[in-house]
Amino acid sequence: MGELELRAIAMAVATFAESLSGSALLCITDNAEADLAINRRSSKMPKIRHLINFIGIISHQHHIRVQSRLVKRDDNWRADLLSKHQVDAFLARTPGAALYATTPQSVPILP
Amino acid sequence: MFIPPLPTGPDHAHAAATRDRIICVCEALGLPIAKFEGPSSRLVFLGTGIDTDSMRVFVPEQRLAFVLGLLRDWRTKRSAKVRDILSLAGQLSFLTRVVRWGSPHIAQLFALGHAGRSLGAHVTLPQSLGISLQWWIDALTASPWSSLLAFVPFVHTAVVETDASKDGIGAFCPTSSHWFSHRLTGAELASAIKVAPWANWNSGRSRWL
Repeated sequence: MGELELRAIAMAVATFAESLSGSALLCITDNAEADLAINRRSSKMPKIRHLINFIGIISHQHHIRVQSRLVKRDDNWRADLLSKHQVDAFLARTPGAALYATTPQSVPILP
Repeated sequence: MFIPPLPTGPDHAHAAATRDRIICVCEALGLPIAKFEGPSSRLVFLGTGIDTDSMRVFVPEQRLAFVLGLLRDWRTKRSAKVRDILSLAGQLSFLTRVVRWGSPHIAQLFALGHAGRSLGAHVTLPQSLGISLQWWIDALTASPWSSLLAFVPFVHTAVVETDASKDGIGAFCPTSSHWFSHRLTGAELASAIKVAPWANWNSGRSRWL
């Protein structure tokens, strides 16, 4: 699950990189493995390392500083709803977000 | 001599007057000045460039060309002396002042260099080292500079909330209200699915039974 959670962060950084250029970005996640990997910038698992490398390149190109913070699943309910494709529920509880739907950028998969 | 960042922009006249005063004081005290540059808002100090107009630190052009040449040479190498490996690690380590994400990509070089062999010994370079070297080439080619803000303590200016479920990924950026909900492709799922050796439920040999 750690890889998918980190893929979510990588995809978010790649998708929002243009608008976040030059910022200090705090990634909120409910997965301890992804949180550790982001803050340590390393992992023993090649697939995780590959995703960290990807985040590193995007962050460097757009001059984004990245750190992560681990939260409880309940505190991450908006992203939780989106990951389960419950878009209607997300929009009902997040007024004004309907205008800002974005197409996610792809993240390369380690062969 | 360096012009510090000012809210009103670089004040060259004031900097020049300060330079003249410093030279006068040094002459009066009998202190020889070995090197004097500027006043300028762009200086190379101890091997790292500082530009207070664009508020950046950068890799000086000469060093950048040298290191990129070095990295491209190393991409084609199959083996190298321990001494050369440590030398490359040192060169790249120095650049992590500017390329902040570079540190993890030197670890393998240091590990190869400190494997207990003599400095003259030859080491076969693993293929995985190529990924790290390519990362450095990409990073240095894309932007050999960092914002000076990268050196102040981290205080977040943007937030992104992310999560993954068994078949999807979602992210929401409260800063800009942008969001996406992505259904995982077959390739992404296949990459993420990893069956642990003990989780062999079909044959009834699960560790938990």
